[in-house]
Amino acid sequence: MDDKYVRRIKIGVVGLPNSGKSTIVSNLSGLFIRTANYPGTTVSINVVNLTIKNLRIQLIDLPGIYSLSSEMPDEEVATKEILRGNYDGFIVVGSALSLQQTIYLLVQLLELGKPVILALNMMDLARKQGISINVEAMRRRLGIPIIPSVAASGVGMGELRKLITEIAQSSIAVNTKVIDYGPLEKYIDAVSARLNAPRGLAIEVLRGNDLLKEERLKASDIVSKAIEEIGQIDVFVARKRWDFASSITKDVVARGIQVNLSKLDYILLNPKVGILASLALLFTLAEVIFLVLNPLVDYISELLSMIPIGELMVNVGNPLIQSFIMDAVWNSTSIVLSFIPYVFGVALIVAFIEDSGLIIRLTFPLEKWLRRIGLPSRGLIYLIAGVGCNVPATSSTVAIPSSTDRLITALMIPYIPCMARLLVISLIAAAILPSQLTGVVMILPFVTSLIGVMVMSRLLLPLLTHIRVKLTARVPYAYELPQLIIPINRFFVKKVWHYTYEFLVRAGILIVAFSALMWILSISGPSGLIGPEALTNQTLIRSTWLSLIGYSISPVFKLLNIPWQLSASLMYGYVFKEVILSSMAVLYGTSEEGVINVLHSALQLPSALALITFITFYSPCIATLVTEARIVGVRLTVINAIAQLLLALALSYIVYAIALLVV
Amino acid sequence: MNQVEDVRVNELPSGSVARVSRLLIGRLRDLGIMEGSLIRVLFSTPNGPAIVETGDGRPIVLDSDAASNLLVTPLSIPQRHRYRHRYGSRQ
Repeated sequence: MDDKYVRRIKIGVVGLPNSGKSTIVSNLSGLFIRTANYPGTTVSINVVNLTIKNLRIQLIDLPGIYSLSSEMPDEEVATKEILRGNYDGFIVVGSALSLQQTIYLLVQLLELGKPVILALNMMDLARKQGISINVEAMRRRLGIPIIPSVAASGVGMGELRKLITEIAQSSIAVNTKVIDYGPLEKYIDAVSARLNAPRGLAIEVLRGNDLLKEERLKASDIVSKAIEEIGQIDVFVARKRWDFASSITKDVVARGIQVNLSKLDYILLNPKVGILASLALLFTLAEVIFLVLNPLVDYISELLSMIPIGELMVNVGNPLIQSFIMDAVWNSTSIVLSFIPYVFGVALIVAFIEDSGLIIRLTFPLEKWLRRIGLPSRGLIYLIAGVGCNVPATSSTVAIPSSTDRLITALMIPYIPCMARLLVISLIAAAILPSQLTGVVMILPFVTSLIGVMVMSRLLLPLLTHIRVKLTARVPYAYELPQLIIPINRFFVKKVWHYTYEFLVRAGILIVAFSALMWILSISGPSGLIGPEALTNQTLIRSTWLSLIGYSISPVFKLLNIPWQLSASLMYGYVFKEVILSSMAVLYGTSEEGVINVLHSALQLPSALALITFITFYSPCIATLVTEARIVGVRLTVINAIAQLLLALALSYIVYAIALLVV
Repeated sequence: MNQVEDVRVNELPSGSVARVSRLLIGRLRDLGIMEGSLIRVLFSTPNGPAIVETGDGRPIVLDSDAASNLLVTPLSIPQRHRYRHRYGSRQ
């Protein structure tokens, strides 16, 4: 066989929401694909290329679906691809915990007449719950290859790779007639012949799939006759499919299936105590993580202080270059290095919230209350997902079908503190509070941001009707509850590493570059170059650009007892939140350790709490604002940014006043 | 014979068992909630979201709109809710 010969095939990865499709694609390709334990993580198509032997495979990771009839925009993307895309075969990713639901979807893919491989995922969780599936019996009944898999730990991936190559060799049997639809069969054949379409497509036409209106029109006479004889075809077909799925499940599941809720679920989902329990769980987690990481912070600081940077600089003759290396490059680099434990801690919390299934547990008890102020349940999921980063959460809102819900969710996501904001908050907390209380402060932004969302959505919702003409009605949303798990697997570790690494590299480059700019602004002013002595001379620094800009907004923060250097740093945070701390370092002419010391001496507890509140709300970064503008438009983005600033000011004044009374 | 009235699923207290009588949204059929099938209410809030268990043990989360669009015939209501719960007291 000629080694140079390369065959190309296109495989669609289809599956139930939250069944592990992206994890499987990530496993097969070795690429990092963002995954999480809540439905709707993948809202668009991910294309991944991989080569197995001399076969070039294009894997298309599609958003999760329950069936080929779509009601959500992300599901529509997947369904359109499945029905119209020219695929050589499909990998259906099912869940061993939801066997009937898996078979219900699988049948629809089989009927399309393409080779199908079933990856029955989450076999480990099923075994833990006492669910025993006879995979061999299932293979016999369905006549297709089935791979029991645990995507998170890579089980079954070797076999899956082998089977993918068999799709190219056309050695996988195609089994389209898995269900006998009785009286509907003649109509299926008739539509199939009229449209020259596969059986599955004909069934969808008869069912009245919204994506196949054109085809339905071409076969309208057959469809009318079928409706006359059978009645509601979609109900008839759904019943047949569920009966089939149920009969297979009865045959292949050796031990009974019970509702897969843990004792903790009954507490977290309880409408009365659930939200408090979830917050307590998050608080405990944050406390433990930061208590464990504190010695590491001290260790890194010690290591950094051992580097004789001052002595090394003696050899550099030019004071300007010396100042640039010391004050701009070294100070910002040491800040990035000292970030590591905090970034890791925040990444760990964010990944845990995403992968444990806690997002749904947080949204369920809150939904009724947030619904009253106009927030939809699906929007609430993205709102909490925004803790990781506001940018992907905002762009995910395209999956919300109702425009009212989509707009209000996209407008509210910036009110949720992201990883970068949490990082600054955690450092302020570390500087001001005893280490035992770091967890409390990590939870504080979540609580205040929820209050902020409640206030602002109520204020902004009426505005939407004035600004946007096309507002569509709310679409009901239902989904299977994801398992509550402790996500300790290699994908979780990879995710935490990815978040930490990505943040450090991105933030590192930004911080060093921005510090260089800040350094220039801090040694020059309207009169020209002042020189590096401006950094240490409080009289000279008043004449620098940095000081002039900082002073312009300092009166607003004076009442909160926040020094102008800190308020000026906040202004630079409009560009990227990561640069707030490096700006503080430049303005105080100090290193990372110095920033913590400066914060400690410059801020009293009420001012620190006010500052934390302000940072929680005042504005997202530029990337989030651009994404927000794409979803809601420029006008609403500007209004929202102003509203956020006003809310940040109002709440920080309130927090300051309360703290003064209490402390 | 007593005619049992159909109610929205979020009007039933947690722990109730009911038979699905009418679906006002088709999506629920794709999740295994069919007319005539039995469901158990795991969690519910009045006029709010609900979590129901399907016949094969899957917990399905229904947001407030989906829960209000699922009409069921109550078959059993936990003893402690019979007199005090909202069921029967609101439309």
